[in-house]
Amino acid sequence: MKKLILSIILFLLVVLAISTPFLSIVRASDETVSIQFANSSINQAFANVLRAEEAGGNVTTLLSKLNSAAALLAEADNAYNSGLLTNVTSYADNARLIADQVNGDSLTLLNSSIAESKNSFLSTMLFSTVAIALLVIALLLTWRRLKRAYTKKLLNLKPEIVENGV
Amino acid sequence: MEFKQKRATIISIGLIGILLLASPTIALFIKMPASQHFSDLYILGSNHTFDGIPFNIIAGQTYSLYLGVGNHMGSSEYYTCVVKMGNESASPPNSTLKTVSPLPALYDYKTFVTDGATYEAPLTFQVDQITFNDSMSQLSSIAINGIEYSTNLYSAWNSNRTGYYYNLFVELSTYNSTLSTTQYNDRYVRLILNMTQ
Repeated sequence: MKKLILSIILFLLVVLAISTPFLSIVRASDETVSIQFANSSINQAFANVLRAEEAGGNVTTLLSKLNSAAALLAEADNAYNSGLLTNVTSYADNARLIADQVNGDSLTLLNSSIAESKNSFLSTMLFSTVAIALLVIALLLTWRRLKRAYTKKLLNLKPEIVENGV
Repeated sequence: MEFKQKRATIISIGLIGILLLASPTIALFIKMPASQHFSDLYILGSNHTFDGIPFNIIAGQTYSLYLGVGNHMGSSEYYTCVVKMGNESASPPNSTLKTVSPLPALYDYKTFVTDGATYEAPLTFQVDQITFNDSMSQLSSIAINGIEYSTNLYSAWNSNRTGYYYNLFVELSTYNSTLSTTQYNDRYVRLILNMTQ
C-alpha cells in the first residue's frame, strides 16, 4: 500500500515537472492576450477620439484618460519584456477598462460634435444669406433714392434760353 | 459727385460687402493649404540640454536622460517609443524601407500628444552586468527606468576607436487610425555607449 502511495506521489511529481514549462507558456500566452485586448481597446478608443476631434469636439479630457490607459499598457509591456509576469494582466486589464470607458465617451462626444458642427454650419450660412440680403436691399433703396433725387434735379433744371443774334 | 461716380461707388460697396459677409461661409468650404506635417524625437541630458549625454559607461552607475516627442502632425497622435539595445554592429532602423530595427524591444513609452504639444519623460539606464574577456565584452543585463532586462550581447574590442561599443536605440512609431496599425515614423535616436572597465 505504501509503495502504491509512493508511486502515485512520484508519478504526480513527474507530471508536475513535465507540465511546468507548458503551464508557463499558457500563462505567458494569457499575458499576451491581455496585452493584445488592451492594445486593441486603446487603438479603437483613439480612432473614435480622433473622429470626435475632427468633428470639432474638445478631446483634452479624453486624451488625458487615454494617456493613463497607455501608461498602464506600457507598464504591462515593460513588465512582460523583462519577464516579470506577476502584474502584467492587472495592468493590461485596467488599461482596457479605461480605454473602453473612453471609447463610450468618445462616441457620445462625436455625436454631439457632429450635431454642433451642423448647427454652426447652418447658422453661418443663415448669417451670410440674411446679411447679404439686407445689404442688397439697403443698396437698392439707396440707389432708388439717388436715382429719384437725380431725376428730380434734372426736372428742376431751367432751360437755358440762348439768344441768337439775328 | 457725378451720377456715374455715385453708381460706381454703390456697386463697389455692394460687391465688397457681399464678399465680406459671405467670407464665413466661404471659409467653411475652402481649406487652407496644410503646412508640413512631422513628428520629432529627441534625447536631452539630465539638465534638459544636449550637455551631459553619456558616452563612457561604467557598470553600476545610473545615467539620466530625457526623451522627448513633438507633434506637428495637425491632429492628436498616439506615439510609441521603443528602447532597444544592440552591440556595435547592430542594425539601426531602415530609413529606405521604413522598418524598425530587428533588435528585441526592451522598454516602451506610449503616449497621446495633441497637435503642437510636446511629451517629455525621463529615461534612466544602468548597466548591471558586463564582463570583459579576451578582447570581448558581454553585456548580460541592463536596467531601464528601474526595470531589469536580460540581454545577451557581445561586442569585440574596437582598436580604431579604442573601446567596447554598444548602441542604445529609441524608435518612434505612430498609430495610423485609417489603416488600424502602428507604423514606424522613420524617426530614431541612437546613443553610442562605450563600456569601460
